[in-house]
Amino acid sequence: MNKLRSNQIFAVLLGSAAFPLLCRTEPFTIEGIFGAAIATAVQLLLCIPILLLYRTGFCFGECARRHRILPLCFIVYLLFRGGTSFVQLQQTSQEISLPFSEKFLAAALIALVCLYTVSLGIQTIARSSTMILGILLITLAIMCIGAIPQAEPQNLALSPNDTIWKGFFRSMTTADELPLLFLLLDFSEKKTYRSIVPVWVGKFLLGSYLSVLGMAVLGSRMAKASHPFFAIVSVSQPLSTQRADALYILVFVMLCVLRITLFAVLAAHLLRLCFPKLRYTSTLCLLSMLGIAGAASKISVSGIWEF
Amino acid sequence: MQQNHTEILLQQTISPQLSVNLSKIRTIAEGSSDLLVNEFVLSGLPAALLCCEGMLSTSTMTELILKPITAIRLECPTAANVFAFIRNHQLYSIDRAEASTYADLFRFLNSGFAVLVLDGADSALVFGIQGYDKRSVSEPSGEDNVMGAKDGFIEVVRVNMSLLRRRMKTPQLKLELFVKGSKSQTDLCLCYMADRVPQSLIAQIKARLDEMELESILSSGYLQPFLENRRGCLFDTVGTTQRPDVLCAKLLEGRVGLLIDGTPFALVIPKLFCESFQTMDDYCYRPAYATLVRWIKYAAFLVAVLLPALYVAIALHHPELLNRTLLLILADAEENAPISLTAEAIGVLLVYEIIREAGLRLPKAVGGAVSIVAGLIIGDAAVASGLISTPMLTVTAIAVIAGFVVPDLAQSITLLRLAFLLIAGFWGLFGISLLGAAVLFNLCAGESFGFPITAPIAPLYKKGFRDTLTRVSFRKMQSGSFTVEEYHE
Repeated sequence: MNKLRSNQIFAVLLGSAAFPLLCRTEPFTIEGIFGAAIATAVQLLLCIPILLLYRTGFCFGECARRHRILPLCFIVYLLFRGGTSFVQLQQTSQEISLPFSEKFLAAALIALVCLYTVSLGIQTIARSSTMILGILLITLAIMCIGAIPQAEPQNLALSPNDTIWKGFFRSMTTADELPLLFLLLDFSEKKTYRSIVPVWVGKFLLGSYLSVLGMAVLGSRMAKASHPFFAIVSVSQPLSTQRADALYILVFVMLCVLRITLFAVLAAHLLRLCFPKLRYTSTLCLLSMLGIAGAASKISVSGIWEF
Repeated sequence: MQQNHTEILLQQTISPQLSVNLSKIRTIAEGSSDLLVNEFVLSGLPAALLCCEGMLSTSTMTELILKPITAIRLECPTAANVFAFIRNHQLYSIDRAEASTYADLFRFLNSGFAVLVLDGADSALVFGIQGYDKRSVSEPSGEDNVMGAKDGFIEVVRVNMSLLRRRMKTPQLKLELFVKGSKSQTDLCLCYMADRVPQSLIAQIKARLDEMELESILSSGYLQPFLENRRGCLFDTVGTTQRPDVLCAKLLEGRVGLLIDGTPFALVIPKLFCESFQTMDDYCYRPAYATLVRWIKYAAFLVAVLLPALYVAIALHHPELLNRTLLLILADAEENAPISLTAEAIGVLLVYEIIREAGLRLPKAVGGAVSIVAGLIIGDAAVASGLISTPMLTVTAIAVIAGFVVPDLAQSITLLRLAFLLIAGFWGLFGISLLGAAVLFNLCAGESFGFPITAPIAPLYKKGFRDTLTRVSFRKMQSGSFTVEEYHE
């Protein structure tokens, strides 16, 4: 079995968690940061039973072979989250100026690439995620360079339309790191608490960074922005006469491929555990995700193309 | 039928009767004009000295073997006594062996050994006196450097072994010579540092070579596919070098080298992607400058692969990314172009590849003329006639020149440049990002005997950064000897 290092699990989970932040439609607020902090603490507490379970010598692979219902539940969850990612991709694709009018084509092309990347296995995802995280960090640094001249500290104020609890629930409902961690720990050699804390700390810092930067740069425009991340990008160009949007398209697509590949590869792995004779599991998973994305867009073929 | 008969004869052991031996040898070598059989009497016994014309030095053979061997006079001359006398009292050559089958005999014979067959002996004595023409050790043509050594491997494996041994006098450097290729009987030499190399790596490489069923090994490219782990990887997982100093550095890091007789290239296993950006000169320059040069190479690789694609993507699909001045220049240049931008870019790149190939294959004197025709006449005329726009030619030229900075990745760069260009024409930056993701995953999937080629970046090894993202001084590098085994997954 492929073995993952703790820094690879960190990169995979943080890379996967970064994509919804880029696609986020709700405004970034200070209350949201506090809510995310509480959600992070709660999720870190929820990690303890998972780790204790693995410390007892638990092996998910063996358990899944005996009780099929558990992996089936995970498969449904992973396919649903994968489908949701396709929906987020389509919703956000209007912000990245695609050179074609059919929005579903973007999802289909991403699925095509994912079909290839899934075939390369979990170890490749783990290695790639380190590089993609590096690209993300460079992007955020460039974004910061462009945002600082536009930032106004007085914009950092409490929002009248948001509360800490709303922020908390938002963070909890969009978080999928716990189930992913539960599955990825099965591939990991080192199952210590210290090795997984950076995942949540990293995610919280990333969210807070974008929130503070977004609020400082956008101010009152934040409430009207359909996709706050891309709104920040559009006003934080590092060069005065040149736009750097290409970099953001690159990181957006990379994160999307990483996230969907991760869901698909885990779902395909579980599917093979439940039904060892089943073939083309990766293709089945990706098609199911596309199907869920299509169903989410009003369950009509024309709806898919007009999404 | 004749072929089978020869194969059967080759497997037979040498007969004690000289006449039978010579008859079988002549049958096996039937039609070959380069087999020389010199029959003579050795201390009263009929004998024959065989050699392959052109493969050995005739003066060495006369001085070292023929003169002393004809002077042997034994009181009780039997084949066993004569062989024992030669073994114990005569040296003739420092490279001596015995052949017991005709297959062995012919392998030695065709490798430039002199073979002594004696009536009454069921084996033949062989003496290494090779003296065939060979190229002298000279500067490698493909891996030039400024401050490093100027000698490179040549086509003779034993000379190449000596080039390594001259640099690494430690007995820990092992040079294992063996033969592969059922027809070519090519000498291969496995080189490694016994105290650095992972033993499992040696075992795996030997197993792969044993599984190989090649008839001939005429260049390093014949072996490379057998040593690569996965099909479909866009980047090499087995490296090549023409430089003994580079190979020594690799061996010291626990890698395995494979020298092949007949080719001036040594294979290096495993090869990491970051090594494509390292040259011997990096270790001669000051660390700060070497680090800068290394980053320039990384940038050059990206420029070589992506620049034409980005140009086409931005000009066709995302003109809003350009400032007004640039946009006007591009619009003005492309306004009168008779073909689409993508077709124009692909055409220019293909023409470049044709010119490059023509320059490589033609004799050097004509190669220069090709450059003049291509650069001055075609380039100038194409722009003047309006077939190709000046910005397109500039972009292509920059991309091509950037590719020269990383010659190790030339094949991958060419393929990727065309692929990115094509996808950029269809789907702009989104397409480039999609293909970029696929290429990144492909790169990360590359492995060589369990060593991920993307190490030390992915998986992350901070210690490896000192010779990847930077090039620290030897004062720092000397602490904690590094071996590639640290990267094994």
